[in-house]
Amino acid sequence: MRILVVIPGTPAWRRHRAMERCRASAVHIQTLLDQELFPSEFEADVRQHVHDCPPCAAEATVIAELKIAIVRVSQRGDAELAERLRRVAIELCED
Amino acid sequence: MNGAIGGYGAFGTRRCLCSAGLGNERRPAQVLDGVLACLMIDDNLQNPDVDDVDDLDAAEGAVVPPATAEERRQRFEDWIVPEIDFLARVARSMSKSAAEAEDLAQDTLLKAFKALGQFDGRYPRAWLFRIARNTAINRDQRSRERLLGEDDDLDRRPGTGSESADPGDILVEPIYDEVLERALDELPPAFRLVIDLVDIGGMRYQEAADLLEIPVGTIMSRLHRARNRLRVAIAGTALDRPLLAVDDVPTEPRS
Repeated sequence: MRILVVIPGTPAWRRHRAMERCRASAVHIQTLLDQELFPSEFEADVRQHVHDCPPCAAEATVIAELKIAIVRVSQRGDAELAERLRRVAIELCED
Repeated sequence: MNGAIGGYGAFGTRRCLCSAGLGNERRPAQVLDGVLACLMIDDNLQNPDVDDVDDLDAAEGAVVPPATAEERRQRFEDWIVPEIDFLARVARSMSKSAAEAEDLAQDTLLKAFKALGQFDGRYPRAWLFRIARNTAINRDQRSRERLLGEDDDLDRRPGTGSESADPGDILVEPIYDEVLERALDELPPAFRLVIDLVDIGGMRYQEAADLLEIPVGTIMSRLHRARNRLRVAIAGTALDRPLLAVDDVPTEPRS
Protein backbone atom coordinates (compact mmCIF):
# COMPACT_ATOMS: atom_id res chain seq x y z
CA MET A 1 0.00 0.00 0.00
CA ARG A 2 1.33 3.33 -1.08
CA ILE A 3 1.03 6.15 1.38
CA LEU A 4 1.12 9.62 -0.03
CA VAL A 5 2.55 12.15 2.37
CA VAL A 6 1.89 15.76 1.57
CA ILE A 7 2.78 18.63 3.77
CA PRO A 8 -0.02 21.17 4.02
CA GLY A 9 0.68 24.42 2.28
CA THR A 10 3.17 23.01 -0.19
CA PRO A 11 2.60 22.96 -3.97
CA ALA A 12 2.29 19.16 -3.82
CA TRP A 13 -0.39 19.48 -1.21
CA ARG A 14 -2.29 22.02 -3.33
CA ARG A 15 -2.03 19.80 -6.39
CA HIS A 16 -3.23 16.81 -4.44
CA ARG A 17 -6.13 18.74 -3.01
CA ALA A 18 -7.16 20.05 -6.43
CA MET A 19 -6.95 16.55 -7.86
CA GLU A 20 -9.20 15.19 -5.15
CA ARG A 21 -11.71 17.95 -5.74
CA CYS A 22 -11.78 17.28 -9.48
CA ARG A 23 -12.18 13.57 -8.92
CA ALA A 24 -15.05 14.16 -6.56
CA SER A 25 -16.69 16.67 -8.87
CA ALA A 26 -16.23 14.65 -12.05
CA VAL A 27 -18.52 11.99 -10.69
CA HIS A 28 -21.22 14.53 -10.05
CA ILE A 29 -21.01 16.80 -13.07
CA GLN A 30 -23.52 14.80 -15.09
CA THR A 31 -25.81 14.52 -12.11
CA LEU A 32 -25.57 18.26 -11.62
CA LEU A 33 -26.40 18.93 -15.27
CA ASP A 34 -29.32 16.54 -15.07
CA GLN A 35 -30.59 18.68 -12.20
CA GLU A 36 -30.48 15.68 -9.95
CA LEU A 37 -28.26 17.20 -7.30
CA PHE A 38 -30.77 18.81 -5.03
CA PRO A 39 -29.82 22.15 -3.47
CA SER A 40 -27.48 21.55 -0.57
CA GLU A 41 -24.06 22.50 0.64
CA PHE A 42 -22.62 19.64 -1.37
CA GLU A 43 -24.41 20.73 -4.53
CA ALA A 44 -23.14 24.27 -3.99
CA ASP A 45 -19.59 22.93 -3.57
CA VAL A 46 -19.78 20.98 -6.81
CA ARG A 47 -21.31 23.91 -8.66
CA GLN A 48 -18.63 26.27 -7.34
CA HIS A 49 -15.87 23.88 -8.26
CA VAL A 50 -17.20 23.42 -11.80
CA HIS A 51 -17.36 27.20 -12.08
CA ASP A 52 -13.81 27.71 -10.88
CA CYS A 53 -11.97 24.74 -12.37
CA PRO A 54 -11.35 24.99 -16.14
CA PRO A 55 -11.12 21.23 -16.85
CA CYS A 56 -14.30 20.55 -14.92
CA ALA A 57 -16.00 23.50 -16.60
CA ALA A 58 -14.95 22.11 -19.97
CA GLU A 59 -16.28 18.71 -19.00
CA ALA A 60 -19.59 20.26 -17.99
CA THR A 61 -19.75 22.19 -21.26
CA VAL A 62 -19.20 19.05 -23.31
CA ILE A 63 -21.88 17.13 -21.44
CA ALA A 64 -24.31 20.03 -21.75
CA GLU A 65 -23.64 20.30 -25.48
CA LEU A 66 -24.03 16.57 -25.86
CA LYS A 67 -27.38 16.63 -24.09
CA ILE A 68 -28.63 19.40 -26.36
CA ALA A 69 -27.37 17.57 -29.45
CA ILE A 70 -29.02 14.32 -28.38
CA VAL A 71 -32.37 16.07 -28.14
CA ARG A 72 -31.87 17.81 -31.48
CA VAL A 73 -30.81 14.66 -33.31
CA SER A 74 -33.48 12.47 -31.78
CA GLN A 75 -36.29 14.85 -32.50
CA ARG A 76 -35.22 15.04 -36.11
CA GLY A 77 -35.13 11.27 -36.44
CA ASP A 78 -38.39 10.62 -34.65
CA ALA A 79 -40.43 13.37 -36.22
CA GLU A 80 -41.13 11.41 -39.38
CA LEU A 81 -42.12 8.31 -37.47
CA ALA A 82 -44.34 10.36 -35.17
CA GLU A 83 -46.01 11.92 -38.19
CA ARG A 84 -46.72 8.50 -39.69
CA LEU A 85 -48.09 7.33 -36.35
CA ARG A 86 -50.41 10.31 -36.25
CA ARG A 87 -51.76 9.28 -39.64
CA VAL A 88 -52.30 5.75 -38.32
CA ALA A 89 -54.08 7.21 -35.32
CA ILE A 90 -56.36 9.23 -37.58
CA GLU A 91 -57.14 6.12 -39.61
CA LEU A 92 -57.91 4.19 -36.44
CA CYS A 93 -60.26 6.91 -35.34
CA GLU A 94 -61.98 7.03 -38.70
CA ASP A 95 -62.52 3.28 -39.00
CA MET B 1 -55.57 -8.71 -11.36
CA ASN B 2 -52.93 -11.01 -12.59
CA GLY B 3 -53.93 -10.75 -16.19
CA ALA B 4 -51.61 -9.94 -19.01
CA ILE B 5 -51.00 -6.26 -18.72
CA GLY B 6 -54.02 -6.03 -16.56
CA GLY B 7 -54.03 -3.23 -14.11
CA TYR B 8 -52.63 -0.50 -16.25
CA GLY B 9 -55.73 1.43 -15.74
CA ALA B 10 -55.99 0.36 -12.16
CA PHE B 11 -52.59 0.55 -10.61
CA GLY B 12 -53.17 4.11 -9.60
CA THR B 13 -55.42 2.93 -6.83
CA ARG B 14 -52.94 0.43 -5.51
CA ARG B 15 -49.61 1.97 -6.34
CA CYS B 16 -49.57 5.51 -7.46
CA LEU B 17 -47.88 6.63 -10.64
CA CYS B 18 -48.22 10.37 -10.72
CA SER B 19 -48.75 11.65 -14.20
CA ALA B 20 -47.07 14.86 -13.14
CA GLY B 21 -43.93 12.86 -12.66
CA LEU B 22 -43.90 11.76 -16.26
CA GLY B 23 -43.98 15.11 -17.92
CA ASN B 24 -41.13 16.82 -19.64
CA GLU B 25 -40.90 19.71 -17.27
CA ARG B 26 -38.58 19.83 -14.33
CA ARG B 27 -40.31 20.43 -11.06
CA PRO B 28 -39.10 21.78 -7.73
CA ALA B 29 -37.35 19.17 -5.69
CA GLN B 30 -39.75 19.55 -2.80
CA VAL B 31 -42.74 18.77 -4.96
CA LEU B 32 -40.88 16.03 -6.70
CA ASP B 33 -40.00 14.26 -3.50
CA GLY B 34 -43.67 13.86 -2.75
CA VAL B 35 -44.36 12.73 -6.26
CA LEU B 36 -41.55 10.24 -6.30
CA ALA B 37 -42.56 8.78 -3.00
CA CYS B 38 -45.62 7.35 -4.66
CA LEU B 39 -44.31 6.88 -8.17
CA MET B 40 -44.59 3.15 -8.43
CA ILE B 41 -45.48 0.66 -11.06
CA ASP B 42 -47.26 -2.63 -10.87
CA ASP B 43 -44.60 -5.26 -10.56
CA ASN B 44 -46.93 -8.03 -11.60
CA LEU B 45 -46.24 -7.00 -15.16
CA GLN B 46 -42.76 -8.35 -15.66
CA ASN B 47 -43.36 -10.15 -18.90
CA PRO B 48 -47.00 -10.16 -19.73
CA ASP B 49 -48.28 -11.52 -22.95
CA VAL B 50 -49.31 -8.48 -24.88
CA ASP B 51 -51.40 -10.58 -27.19
CA ASP B 52 -53.77 -10.72 -24.27
CA VAL B 53 -54.02 -6.99 -24.14
CA ASP B 54 -57.77 -7.26 -24.55
CA ASP B 55 -57.91 -8.97 -21.19
CA LEU B 56 -57.02 -5.82 -19.31
CA ASP B 57 -58.55 -6.09 -15.93
CA ALA B 58 -60.29 -3.06 -14.62
CA ALA B 59 -61.20 -4.51 -11.26
CA GLU B 60 -59.31 -2.01 -9.15
CA GLY B 61 -59.70 1.19 -11.07
CA ALA B 62 -62.56 3.40 -11.95
CA VAL B 63 -62.57 2.25 -15.53
CA VAL B 64 -65.64 3.13 -17.50
CA PRO B 65 -65.64 1.44 -20.89
CA PRO B 66 -66.50 3.77 -23.73
CA ALA B 67 -70.15 3.55 -24.50
CA THR B 68 -69.84 4.49 -28.13
CA ALA B 69 -67.30 4.42 -30.90
CA GLU B 70 -67.27 8.19 -30.74
CA GLU B 71 -66.35 8.08 -27.07
CA ARG B 72 -63.56 5.64 -27.79
CA ARG B 73 -62.20 7.94 -30.48
CA GLN B 74 -62.38 10.86 -28.12
CA ARG B 75 -60.44 9.00 -25.45
CA PHE B 76 -57.86 7.93 -27.97
CA GLU B 77 -57.37 11.50 -29.09
CA ASP B 78 -57.25 12.82 -25.54
CA TRP B 79 -55.02 10.21 -23.95
CA ILE B 80 -52.97 8.46 -26.58
CA VAL B 81 -52.41 10.88 -29.45
CA PRO B 82 -50.56 13.41 -27.24
CA GLU B 83 -48.07 10.65 -26.37
CA ILE B 84 -47.25 9.73 -29.96
CA ASP B 85 -43.92 11.58 -29.91
CA PHE B 86 -42.95 9.65 -26.79
CA LEU B 87 -44.07 6.41 -28.40
CA ALA B 88 -41.96 7.11 -31.47
CA ARG B 89 -38.91 7.67 -29.29
CA VAL B 90 -39.25 4.56 -27.18
CA ALA B 91 -40.06 2.44 -30.22
CA ARG B 92 -36.83 3.64 -31.80
CA SER B 93 -34.84 2.83 -28.72
CA MET B 94 -36.35 -0.63 -28.45
CA SER B 95 -35.65 -1.50 -32.07
CA LYS B 96 -32.63 -2.25 -34.15
CA SER B 97 -33.88 -0.54 -37.26
CA ALA B 98 -36.29 2.16 -38.34
CA ALA B 99 -38.56 -0.43 -39.93
CA GLU B 100 -38.69 -2.43 -36.72
CA ALA B 101 -39.43 0.73 -34.78
CA GLU B 102 -42.28 1.61 -37.07
CA ASP B 103 -43.79 -1.86 -36.74
CA LEU B 104 -43.45 -1.75 -32.99
CA ALA B 105 -44.97 1.70 -32.69
CA GLN B 106 -47.90 0.81 -34.95
CA ASP B 107 -48.54 -2.44 -33.09
CA THR B 108 -48.47 -0.56 -29.82
CA LEU B 109 -50.85 2.05 -31.11
CA LEU B 110 -53.25 -0.58 -32.37
CA LYS B 111 -53.16 -2.51 -29.11
CA ALA B 112 -53.70 0.66 -27.15
CA PHE B 113 -56.68 1.49 -29.30
CA LYS B 114 -58.17 -1.95 -28.78
CA ALA B 115 -57.56 -1.88 -25.04
CA LEU B 116 -58.92 1.61 -24.44
CA GLY B 117 -62.04 0.15 -22.91
CA GLN B 118 -60.02 -1.16 -20.00
CA PHE B 119 -57.89 1.93 -19.45
CA ASP B 120 -58.95 4.62 -17.03
CA GLY B 121 -56.90 7.38 -18.60
CA ARG B 122 -54.36 7.80 -15.85
CA TYR B 123 -50.71 7.81 -16.81
CA PRO B 124 -51.13 7.08 -20.52
CA ARG B 125 -47.39 7.45 -21.05
CA ALA B 126 -46.59 4.65 -18.64
CA TRP B 127 -49.40 2.57 -20.09
CA LEU B 128 -48.12 2.99 -23.64
CA PHE B 129 -44.58 2.30 -22.53
CA ARG B 130 -45.63 -0.99 -21.00
CA ILE B 131 -47.49 -2.08 -24.08
CA ALA B 132 -44.53 -1.13 -26.28
CA ARG B 133 -42.05 -2.91 -24.07
CA ASN B 134 -44.09 -6.08 -23.86
CA THR B 135 -44.72 -6.02 -27.58
CA ALA B 136 -40.98 -5.69 -28.12
CA ILE B 137 -40.26 -8.57 -25.75
CA ASN B 138 -42.70 -10.82 -27.57
CA ARG B 139 -41.37 -9.71 -30.92
CA ASP B 140 -37.82 -10.53 -29.89
CA GLN B 141 -38.86 -13.91 -28.58
CA ARG B 142 -40.61 -14.74 -31.83
CA SER B 143 -37.64 -13.46 -33.77
CA ARG B 144 -35.26 -15.67 -31.77
CA GLU B 145 -37.46 -18.69 -32.29
CA ARG B 146 -37.60 -17.98 -35.98
CA LEU B 147 -33.85 -17.58 -36.20
CA LEU B 148 -33.25 -20.79 -34.28
CA GLY B 149 -35.37 -22.59 -36.82
CA GLU B 150 -33.48 -21.09 -39.72
CA ASP B 151 -29.86 -21.46 -38.64
CA ASP B 152 -28.88 -22.86 -41.97
CA ASP B 153 -30.09 -19.78 -43.74
CA LEU B 154 -27.97 -17.39 -41.73
CA ASP B 155 -24.82 -17.88 -43.72
CA ARG B 156 -26.64 -17.21 -46.92
CA ARG B 157 -28.48 -14.17 -45.69
CA PRO B 158 -26.98 -10.98 -46.98
CA GLY B 159 -26.18 -8.19 -44.62
CA THR B 160 -26.08 -10.21 -41.42
CA GLY B 161 -22.39 -9.62 -40.91
CA SER B 162 -20.91 -6.38 -39.76
CA GLU B 163 -22.48 -3.56 -41.65
CA SER B 164 -19.67 -2.26 -43.76
CA ALA B 165 -19.57 1.45 -44.19
CA ASP B 166 -20.60 2.87 -47.50
CA PRO B 167 -17.40 3.94 -49.30
CA GLY B 168 -19.07 7.26 -49.87
CA ASP B 169 -19.46 7.73 -46.15
CA ILE B 170 -15.77 7.38 -45.60
CA LEU B 171 -15.08 10.21 -47.97
CA VAL B 172 -17.66 12.52 -46.54
CA GLU B 173 -16.44 14.57 -43.64
CA PRO B 174 -18.20 13.39 -40.53
CA ILE B 175 -20.82 15.82 -39.35
CA TYR B 176 -21.54 15.95 -35.72
CA ASP B 177 -25.25 15.27 -35.87
CA GLU B 178 -24.92 12.41 -38.30
CA VAL B 179 -22.20 10.79 -36.28
CA LEU B 180 -24.16 11.27 -33.12
CA GLU B 181 -27.31 9.88 -34.71
CA ARG B 182 -25.44 6.80 -35.79
CA ALA B 183 -23.86 6.44 -32.39
CA LEU B 184 -27.26 6.67 -30.76
CA ASP B 185 -28.57 3.96 -33.05
CA GLU B 186 -25.62 1.77 -32.15
CA LEU B 187 -26.06 2.11 -28.41
CA PRO B 188 -27.22 -1.05 -26.67
CA PRO B 189 -31.01 -0.84 -26.24
CA ALA B 190 -30.73 -0.57 -22.46
CA PHE B 191 -28.47 2.47 -22.78
CA ARG B 192 -30.52 4.04 -25.53
CA LEU B 193 -33.68 3.69 -23.54
CA VAL B 194 -32.22 5.53 -20.57
CA ILE B 195 -30.96 8.31 -22.82
CA ASP B 196 -34.42 8.53 -24.36
CA LEU B 197 -36.19 8.71 -21.06
CA VAL B 198 -33.85 11.10 -19.27
CA ASP B 199 -32.19 13.25 -21.91
CA ILE B 200 -34.99 13.38 -24.44
CA GLY B 201 -38.04 12.65 -22.37
CA GLY B 202 -36.86 14.85 -19.52
CA MET B 203 -37.63 12.26 -16.88
CA ARG B 204 -35.95 12.33 -13.53
CA TYR B 205 -33.71 9.45 -12.57
CA GLN B 206 -36.29 8.12 -10.16
CA GLU B 207 -39.06 8.27 -12.72
CA ALA B 208 -37.03 6.37 -15.27
CA ALA B 209 -35.99 3.87 -12.62
CA ASP B 210 -39.57 3.21 -11.65
CA LEU B 211 -40.70 2.90 -15.22
CA LEU B 212 -37.92 0.44 -16.07
CA GLU B 213 -38.07 -1.24 -12.66
CA ILE B 214 -34.38 -0.88 -12.03
CA PRO B 215 -32.46 0.95 -9.30
CA VAL B 216 -31.67 4.64 -9.65
CA GLY B 217 -27.99 3.76 -9.46
CA THR B 218 -28.36 1.65 -12.57
CA ILE B 219 -30.01 4.54 -14.37
CA MET B 220 -27.09 6.80 -13.45
CA SER B 221 -24.55 4.21 -14.42
CA ARG B 222 -26.18 3.54 -17.79
CA LEU B 223 -26.49 7.25 -18.47
CA HIS B 224 -22.83 7.88 -17.76
CA ARG B 225 -21.71 4.91 -19.81
CA ALA B 226 -24.02 5.79 -22.67
CA ARG B 227 -22.81 9.37 -22.77
CA ASN B 228 -19.22 8.28 -22.62
CA ARG B 229 -19.84 5.95 -25.56
CA LEU B 230 -21.40 8.79 -27.48
CA ARG B 231 -18.43 11.00 -26.70
CA VAL B 232 -16.05 8.37 -27.94
CA ALA B 233 -18.15 8.00 -31.07
CA ILE B 234 -18.11 11.70 -31.85
CA ALA B 235 -14.38 11.96 -31.40
CA GLY B 236 -13.06 13.95 -34.32
CA THR B 237 -16.16 16.04 -34.82
CA ALA B 238 -16.61 19.68 -34.02
CA LEU B 239 -17.59 19.29 -30.40
CA ASP B 240 -15.03 16.70 -29.54
CA ARG B 241 -13.09 17.31 -26.40
CA PRO B 242 -11.15 14.85 -24.30
CA LEU B 243 -12.77 13.25 -21.31
CA LEU B 244 -11.74 14.80 -18.04
CA ALA B 245 -8.42 13.31 -17.03
CA VAL B 246 -6.27 13.68 -13.98
CA ASP B 247 -3.68 15.44 -16.12
CA ASP B 248 -6.19 18.19 -16.69
CA VAL B 249 -6.16 19.11 -13.06
CA PRO B 250 -4.69 22.56 -12.56
CA THR B 251 -1.56 22.72 -10.53
CA GLU B 252 -2.93 25.47 -8.36
CA PRO B 253 -6.34 25.22 -6.81
CA ARG B 254 -8.62 28.07 -7.75
CA SER B 255 -11.35 27.50 -5.26
